[in-house]
Amino acid sequence: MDKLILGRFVPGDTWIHHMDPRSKILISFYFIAIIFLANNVASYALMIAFTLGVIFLSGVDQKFFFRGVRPLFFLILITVLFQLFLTRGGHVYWQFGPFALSQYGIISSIYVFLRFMMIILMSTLLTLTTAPLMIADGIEALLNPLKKLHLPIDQLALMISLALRFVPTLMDETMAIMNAQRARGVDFGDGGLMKRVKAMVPVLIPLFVNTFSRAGDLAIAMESRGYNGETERTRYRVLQWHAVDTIAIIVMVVLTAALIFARN
Amino acid sequence: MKSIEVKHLSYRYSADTELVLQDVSFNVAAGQWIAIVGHNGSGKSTLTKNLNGLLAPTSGEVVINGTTLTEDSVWDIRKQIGIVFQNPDNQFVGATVEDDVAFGLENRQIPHDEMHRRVKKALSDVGMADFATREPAHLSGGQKQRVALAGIIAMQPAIIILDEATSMLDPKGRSDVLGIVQALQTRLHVTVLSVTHDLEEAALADQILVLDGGRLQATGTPKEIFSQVDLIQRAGLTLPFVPQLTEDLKTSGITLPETYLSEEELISALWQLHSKM
Ligand SMILES: Nc1ncnc2c1ncn2[C@@H]1O[C@H](COP(=O)(O)OP(=O)(O)OP(=O)(O)O)[C@@H](O)[C@H]1O
Ligand SMILES: [Mg+2]
Repeated sequence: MDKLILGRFVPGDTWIHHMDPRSKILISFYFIAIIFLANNVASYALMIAFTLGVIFLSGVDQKFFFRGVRPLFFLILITVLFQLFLTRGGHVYWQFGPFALSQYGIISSIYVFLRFMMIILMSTLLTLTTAPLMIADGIEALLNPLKKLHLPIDQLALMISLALRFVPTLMDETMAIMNAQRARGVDFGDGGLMKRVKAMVPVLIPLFVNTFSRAGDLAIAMESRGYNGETERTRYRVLQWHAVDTIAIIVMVVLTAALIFARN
Repeated sequence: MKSIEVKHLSYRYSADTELVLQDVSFNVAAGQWIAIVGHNGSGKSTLTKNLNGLLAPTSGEVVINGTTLTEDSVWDIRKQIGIVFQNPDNQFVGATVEDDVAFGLENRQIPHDEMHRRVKKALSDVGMADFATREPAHLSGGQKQRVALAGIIAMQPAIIILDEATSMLDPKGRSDVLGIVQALQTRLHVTVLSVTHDLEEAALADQILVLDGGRLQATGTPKEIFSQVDLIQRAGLTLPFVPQLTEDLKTSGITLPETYLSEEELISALWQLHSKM
């Protein structure tokens, strides 16, 4: 069950696994932003070549990428169909009421599809090659300047890391409670939506109660180990910027230049 | 030197409930091993939480290494006391084993290199070095207890409190872990307070405190405590094998001069008795 959120990370030993999460997060966001600059065949070809190249170089098994795309399949399909039939312009091949199949419609739906795919593939690559904890560390480091505005970044980071740590525990607990209720005759699989929602109530209530008592215990354990939320703490985990991160940034600069050159 | 002084400590969780601890007083000298025994709900965990200010006494006083526990001194006192709690799942803070061991060190602002050294050492001490990067979801209860202990050892406190901290370990694991704590006790003169239901383990202590219904019923050496059979029974505990055997011999008419803790002692006492007959 913990596959749901944490299982997306695939441990590995490639250069992309060794990159600093800060540079990976920055580059992923940057890439997603500049995708919107692409506006012709050449610029799209460039971006696609880049995406496929990075995926190939990452050495991550392709089947993991399919898994990343699958849950979004309908979203992509609907968006593409909208673009396809509702965009007007150029030569019109077919028309029915408000729907039309036009030259522009075909082109823009292809572009939308490609953009979607690239965004999904790149963000999947990020989560496949970066442990959730490292993503949390990276986000924290990137948000660090906000501390100057007295935003509680350290506390936020600890919260994220605690949440990550307790997801599997709470999943296990949900399973245990569901089994306990099954043993008492509750049926989770049958009946209409209302009936199934109702069946979840005897699961959620003990889960909430247990979670609160857990949180109380955890707070006690943290406090007795000297955590008080205010004093500065040192860091066990220190992010390290490697040569590969610098190279990656340079590659992005080159990609941007090429993109600006290719678009019209 | 006195490591822990508890003076007339009483505690209740809320104003409208009964006292969970009633007028508890005892002293512990530095470097001693103390076992706290008592049945479920007798107030053992409540007592341990009063010692480092996680709970504030309703009345009475706690003095740790000469410092009275107050709101001002509480953070200093917490630096001197490490508690391993009863439930290993609810004290696992880090996302991985090594992060968890490091948590207390981070709070104390231990420098990075020193921290890595201590985490490594503590994990190998408890036999978890190979699990350093594991997530808690993939550990057994006993393994989590070892990690919790490593987290405390790494902080090098003057007082270690174990609240049934070995309850999920197998017999070998338990004697290993207790061995580690004992080594710390002798080498660094650490004071150990161990809450346990296992009187075999309590037999190793310098002093045993027996809690019953929130009152301290008796304190004494294991021999003194184990010779008071009715006390042990009232506290809902079972004697270890050898003292129990001594008791059984007594009821069947063979009276030995005192209570014995080890088999060897009992055997040699029996030989002496035999040669006198
Ligand atoms: N948070 C709390 N709020 C109110 N009452 C509590 C709380 N924690 C414990 N108690 C009560 O205080 C009494 C002593 O509990 P405590 O946890 O100290 O017992 P214990 O000796 O550690 O038992 P065990 O062997 O089961 O761990 C019990 O009657 C318990 O119900
Ligand atoms: Mg307890």
